[in-house]
Amino acid sequence: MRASSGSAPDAADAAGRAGKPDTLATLAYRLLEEAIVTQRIAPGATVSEAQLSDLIGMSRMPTREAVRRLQRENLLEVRPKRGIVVRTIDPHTQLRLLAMRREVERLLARLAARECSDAQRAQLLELAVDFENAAASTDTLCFVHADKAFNELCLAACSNEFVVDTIRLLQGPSRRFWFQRAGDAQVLAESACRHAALARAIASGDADVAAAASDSLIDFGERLARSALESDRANIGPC
Amino acid sequence: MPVERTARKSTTATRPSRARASTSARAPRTERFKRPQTESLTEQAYTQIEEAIVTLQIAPGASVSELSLSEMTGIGRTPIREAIQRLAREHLIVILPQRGLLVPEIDVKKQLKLLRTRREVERLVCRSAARSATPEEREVFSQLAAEFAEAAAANDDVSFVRLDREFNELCLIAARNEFAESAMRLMHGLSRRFWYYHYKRAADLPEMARLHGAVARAIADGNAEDAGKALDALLDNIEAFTLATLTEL
Repeated sequence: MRASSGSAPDAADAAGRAGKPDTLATLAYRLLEEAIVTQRIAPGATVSEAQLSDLIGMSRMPTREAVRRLQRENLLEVRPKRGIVVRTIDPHTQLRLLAMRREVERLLARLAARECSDAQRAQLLELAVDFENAAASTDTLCFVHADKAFNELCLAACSNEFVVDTIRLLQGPSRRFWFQRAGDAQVLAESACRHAALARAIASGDADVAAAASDSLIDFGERLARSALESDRANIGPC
Repeated sequence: MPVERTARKSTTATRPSRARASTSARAPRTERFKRPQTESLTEQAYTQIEEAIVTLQIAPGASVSELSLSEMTGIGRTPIREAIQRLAREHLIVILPQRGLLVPEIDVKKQLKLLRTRREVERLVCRSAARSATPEEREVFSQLAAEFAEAAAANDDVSFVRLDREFNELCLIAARNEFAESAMRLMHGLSRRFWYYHYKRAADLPEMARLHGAVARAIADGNAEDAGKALDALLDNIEAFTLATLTEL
């Protein structure tokens, strides 16, 4: 799904090799992003391009392109002559990320509420049920799938390519934030409930209600990040 | 709040003389706050091509190619290719599969969408800058506020463009939010190009300089709420300016 048809959501995908949906660079990107998000590569680790290329079993050029994209998405940091560092998502970084997500996701919720089609409204209501089921059964996979579909649906509905660009910048670190806490059943249930409420609010078409529901979801994220900060202070150790 | 007190004091200090402010050769003060970095060929290519597109040396709607951009900049094809990808992400070049590269036409509707997004991100940037700026940065914000006022009084577009650039950079540094910075950088080029294209006919430059000055002043004073409000007032003005270009056509 590409909401911004006229633009290049990621030019690395589009440049020069049109039509082929999965370029080697895109594939390398997916594999590396997953390895980072699921912490198969540890946060804070310094790695070389060769190591990453071995890890995903792909050659250097696509790996290099993937690294550049992950750098833009704030998951990797390339330090000239010193290697590639997997950026740690410490609670402070998380709070800065959430401050951004609050503003942009509120706008996304407002726009999606106003612009979505009847078909999209129906899909939103189905997703709300999926979220509620995920909350009741604390089924991580069910939540992750609904979350992915929900994000893509909102981006498709908002018809603003700049919102789409900005959200995509934040997606990697956001996904990792979630993944770090996916094991906690209570967190999962609460998050899924608030997602369900947001989906219903957007489907209602009331932009103000949708904005408030978006803020409530971010409030929850901030509470998590703050409590992580507290426990870091208590433990006095690297996060 | 000790920080606030420092800032207040610094705003009353005598600002640099007009002579210093108008020395075009002087490096922007924001250089001081930048991390030292060597510019790669890709960055050089990016900077040159971006400047050419934003200042309309390459006209909206023009076709370009890797070769033509390589000749224009004197930089080899590989860095040019990487620069093109970045420019495509910033909506300054459109990659047409199998058909080459296009510098997009000016598009008011798209510009209004950009402003909606920019308003939210930039409000956060300005509020964060008001909270997180160092005393040295506040000092510069205070100077910028005064210089915006001078540019407004003199209706001086050259100073305004320079001040605007310096102000934007300093905001991103002072806000200390890497996510907001990346998002703003994606939108800067297209914003600046639109400005270049229309400002002589449609913009009320003194008013715009005054509104910029108000944001700079609020950040210098460490007042996040005022910084947010001043930014909204500025964006209202830019939106009105953008809409006004429609009637001009």
